[in-house]
Amino acid sequence: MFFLLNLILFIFLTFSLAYILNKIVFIYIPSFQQNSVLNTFILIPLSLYFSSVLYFFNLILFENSIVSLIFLEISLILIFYLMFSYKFKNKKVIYEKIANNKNDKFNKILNFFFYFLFVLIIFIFLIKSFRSPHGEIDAALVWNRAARFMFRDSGEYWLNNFLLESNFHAGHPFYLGATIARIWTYLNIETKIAPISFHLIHYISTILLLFYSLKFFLKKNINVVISCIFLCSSVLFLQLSVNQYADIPISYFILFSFIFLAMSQINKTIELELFFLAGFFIGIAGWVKNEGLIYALSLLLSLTFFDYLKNKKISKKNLFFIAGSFIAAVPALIKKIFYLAPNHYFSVNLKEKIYLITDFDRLVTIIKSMINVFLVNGNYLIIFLVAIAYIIGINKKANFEIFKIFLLYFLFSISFFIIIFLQMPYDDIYGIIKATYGRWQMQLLPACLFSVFLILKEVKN
Amino acid sequence: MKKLNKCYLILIILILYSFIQFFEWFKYSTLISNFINKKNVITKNEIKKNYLINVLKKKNKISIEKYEKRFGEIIEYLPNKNEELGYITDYSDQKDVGLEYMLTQYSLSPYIIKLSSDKKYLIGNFSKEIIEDNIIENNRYIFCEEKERKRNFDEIINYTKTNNKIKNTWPKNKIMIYSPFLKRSGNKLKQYKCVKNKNFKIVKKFDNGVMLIQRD
Repeated sequence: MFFLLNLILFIFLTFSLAYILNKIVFIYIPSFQQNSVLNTFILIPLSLYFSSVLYFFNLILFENSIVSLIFLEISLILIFYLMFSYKFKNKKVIYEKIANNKNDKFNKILNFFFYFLFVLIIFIFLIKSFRSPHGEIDAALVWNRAARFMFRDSGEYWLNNFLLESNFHAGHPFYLGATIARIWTYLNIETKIAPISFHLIHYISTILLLFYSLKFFLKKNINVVISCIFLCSSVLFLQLSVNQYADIPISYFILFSFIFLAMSQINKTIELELFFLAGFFIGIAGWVKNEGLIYALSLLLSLTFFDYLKNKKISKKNLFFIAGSFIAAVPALIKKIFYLAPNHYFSVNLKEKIYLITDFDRLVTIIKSMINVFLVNGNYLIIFLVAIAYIIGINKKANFEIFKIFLLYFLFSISFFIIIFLQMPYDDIYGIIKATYGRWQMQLLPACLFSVFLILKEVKN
Repeated sequence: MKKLNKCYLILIILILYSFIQFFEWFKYSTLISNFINKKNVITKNEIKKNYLINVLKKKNKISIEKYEKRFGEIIEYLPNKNEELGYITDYSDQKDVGLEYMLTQYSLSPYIIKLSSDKKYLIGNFSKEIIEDNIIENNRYIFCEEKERKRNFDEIINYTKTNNKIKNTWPKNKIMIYSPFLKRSGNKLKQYKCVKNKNFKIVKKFDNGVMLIQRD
């Protein structure tokens, strides 16, 4: 009975926060076009971000007391409601209703194929999760282990996490760990269903978010369905989710950031708010995984570059972007500053780091390895995506801004990764790049599909 | 007609892409191969059910569930959580010692398990032979005490070579008890000094090879 009450309380708090956030985040969609149930489901990861931050602070300040956690969560919901109550009444934007497509044969086949794939991948997800409920080794040892440290001891022993050997990557942020520990805390039981549901929600939310946002932008069903079929067919995307890695959550927040940037191109009345939200979502990536901070920095540099080309100065909207990403990254920065953990990168001193960075042979090996994994390593995705884009054709009248931002963002992030690989004190650089590349590609895949499909022609029947 | 062709070309590409992706997955999937291998064996209903569960359950080289069970009983005998515990195992070429250590830490969280034999309490993760033949009690092993030193730069960037060099110096036909090293263990390098007749006090011993040991 107690378990059931706690479960209801947990679901109620999570969904209430997501519902309130839905009114704040989807400001660009007029109310008559909104589907509250779908929006709320899509925003569960954002709700989990806030509650994971609260869980972290509750752990520091109140030694993980469940009473204080519930109090903090209810307070946050009320604060959001009071702060943004005006948004529940007024809508700044009005758009034409999304045009309905004719139900022709091709459309029907594509829709059927998409639904079939969607059901198939969920089925595969469940079967695979039943087979390995702890996820893959990395997930168990890095993310679920961190959750155990937080949940298993309400006192100060969770700090033991930061005394472990560097191989446990105790320095990673707590989005996954704290969220899973929060579910366990509410249920008062360490169940494997918690991490499985967490990853399933992120997986479905990312696909739905791509579908929902492209449908809003393109107002035509076929291109939207094609992009989602691409995402659903990517087995690695599914596998990473089953493995319980942090790559799918990070891809969700990157995609959301690009959606806000795209929206800011066509809705100038709420441009500053949208830039703030874009910054906020990419900043959350820094609370998911260490490379999230790299993604935030890459996107900021990319935006600043285009802004500088146009105005020769940093504009107000970029300052809003910086403010948003900084606010979202505060928990990650607090953790980084106050809770240091052993790290492989600290094992080499400055002199050795300079030697590694300036080693030309190493640079050549890294670039060669990257080209190799990009072009050779069974990378069908790029070939098929280019083929589809070629067949559909580029819409020359489309706004290329987001696509250009994505390309530059990709280049910046790749440059940062090269610098990191350069100073990695490992000898098997090719092996490391091969192991990381697929995951990195999947982190960017939803945002890539979104940017590409924005500039393609409409497939007419 | 032209437009129709374009639509169907898109459809073909999408189906082809999905097919290639899932085919690759099916090819390497142990689930599918399990089904194929077990297909001819299934006969009675009860056996059928057990087979189905076995087929669906993943058989990893090292199972996390197995480790959870293996270390479940020792938790109540462990000292205070502030106390760092050491970790020792018996050397065997086939063992994935690094992974076994990490799974031990996962199972015993939030205790701190260090890759060191220089702690008051040690977690012993041994093979069954050690327990069955009472190797520890009868002192029939060689204990390799480690000493850490800072790696030099060449050893950091060539860790595979360095680690292999250390491994190759071990005798193959003796029972060696030691605290292992990981492939990437920061800026420290372990050096071992092996001795016979090192005494340990066994605090708790389990049949599955897990022990809590106190150092003299």
